[in-house]
Amino acid sequence: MLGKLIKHEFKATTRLLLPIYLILIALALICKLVHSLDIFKGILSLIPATIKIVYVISIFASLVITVIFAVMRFYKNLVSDEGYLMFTLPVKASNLINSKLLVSVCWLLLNAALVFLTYLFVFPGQTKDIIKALLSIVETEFGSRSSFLITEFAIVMLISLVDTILLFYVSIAVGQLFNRHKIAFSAAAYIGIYSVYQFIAAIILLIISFINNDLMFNIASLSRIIFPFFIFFYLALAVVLYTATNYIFSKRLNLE
Amino acid sequence: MRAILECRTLNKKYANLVALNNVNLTIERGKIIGLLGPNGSGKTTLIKLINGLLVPSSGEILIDGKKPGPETKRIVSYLPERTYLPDWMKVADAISFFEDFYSDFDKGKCMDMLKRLNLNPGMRLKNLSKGTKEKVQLILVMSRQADLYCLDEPIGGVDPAARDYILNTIISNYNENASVIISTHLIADIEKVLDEFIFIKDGNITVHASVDDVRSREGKSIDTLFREVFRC
Repeated sequence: MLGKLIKHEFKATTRLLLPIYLILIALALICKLVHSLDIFKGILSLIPATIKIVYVISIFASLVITVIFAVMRFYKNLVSDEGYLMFTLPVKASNLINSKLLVSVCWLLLNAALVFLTYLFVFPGQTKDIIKALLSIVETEFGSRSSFLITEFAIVMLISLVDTILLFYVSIAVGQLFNRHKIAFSAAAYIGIYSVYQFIAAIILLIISFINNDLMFNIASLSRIIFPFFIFFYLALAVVLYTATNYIFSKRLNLE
Repeated sequence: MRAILECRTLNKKYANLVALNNVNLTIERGKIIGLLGPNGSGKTTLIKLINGLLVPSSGEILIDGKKPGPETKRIVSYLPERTYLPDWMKVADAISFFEDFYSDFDKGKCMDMLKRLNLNPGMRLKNLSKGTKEKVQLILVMSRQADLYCLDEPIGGVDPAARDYILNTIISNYNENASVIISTHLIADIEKVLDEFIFIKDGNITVHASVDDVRSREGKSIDTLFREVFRC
């Protein structure tokens, strides 16, 4: 059943997200074309500059839209009228959550890949220079541990992405427990849960830095302490958020 | 055979409202039951509890001996009192959705009924009137070979001609092992198809009886009885 849910989730989301990504690709192509034509002189040089700005804005817009759409889709499909359809399907609540989480993560990764690839295509020299510079910094600071550090960093990013989505999910789940003002309670839940976990993370980091004095001043601690800490912390957070969302939707569903 | 639906001291409370109060109810297989009561009497709450969209405050609700969950949802076909299909879908999308998730969905039957009511599968739900959407939903729900059908206000928004067709569909579509619960306040229209009826008032079930018994004993229709019992 998870496979079918994922199939229908892709069907429902593609129709909105695909056009957004096509616009991003189209703007990248136009940007590249305009920059390769060396015909804009004087006041006309505003044209390539403007197109470049529009392209860069579209990068951020696409990422923001993908996240907002993931959240709205979850709310609309599970907690509004459409929830009557989804929660009467012969599937477990966990599979409803899994299908939405997996598909949202897929879209975000695709979006990130598109941003990187189009940027590399439009500004190949600049992009390669930035990557080289970053790699050489990592190389000089971490030497043989650099690939390990990069892997750690990628894991932190991926898990924190999942956490970002799950935090929205659990807030929506908490909001639907109330009979009125579900969206307002969802927003309040988001702020509340976010503050609590930021606070806990800060406390733990503080304790670690007391035990290990040079934590903040020694860059080597990044791969030895900071990244492992965040991997563990974000993973634990993901488990808590997922379990809470699943518990509420399995045992405390309250559709108006 | 096990009762298709059983409620034991079922309660549902909201902050300052008792929606269902100590409901004890057994529904056998092979019956068409009218769930009748004024607005806000608890009809929709009971149906939502059967479908697991709400959780009881206390007591128990069993469908074919099981608590609401994926197993019971497989055998219950539910028509809510609102439009629950995503409006970007075409009728054909909704059909393939039902086909994918419900193994008891009969596509041929669904297509026949759509044709009969002059509905084209290529139409987008967004562009349909409220009554037409209700027809599409009812057709989807009745195209399943379920054990229990829960129809919440199935005829409220459709014209009288379609109403007759829909009621005929309901009686001709369910098999002898299945039961149909129809919640409505349009009693006169559905009275002729009912085997049993339930009067529900302020969350309490006041009467659960056979339609024929009441007709022969009291000599009056359920509609007349309803007007007497629920006189304002």
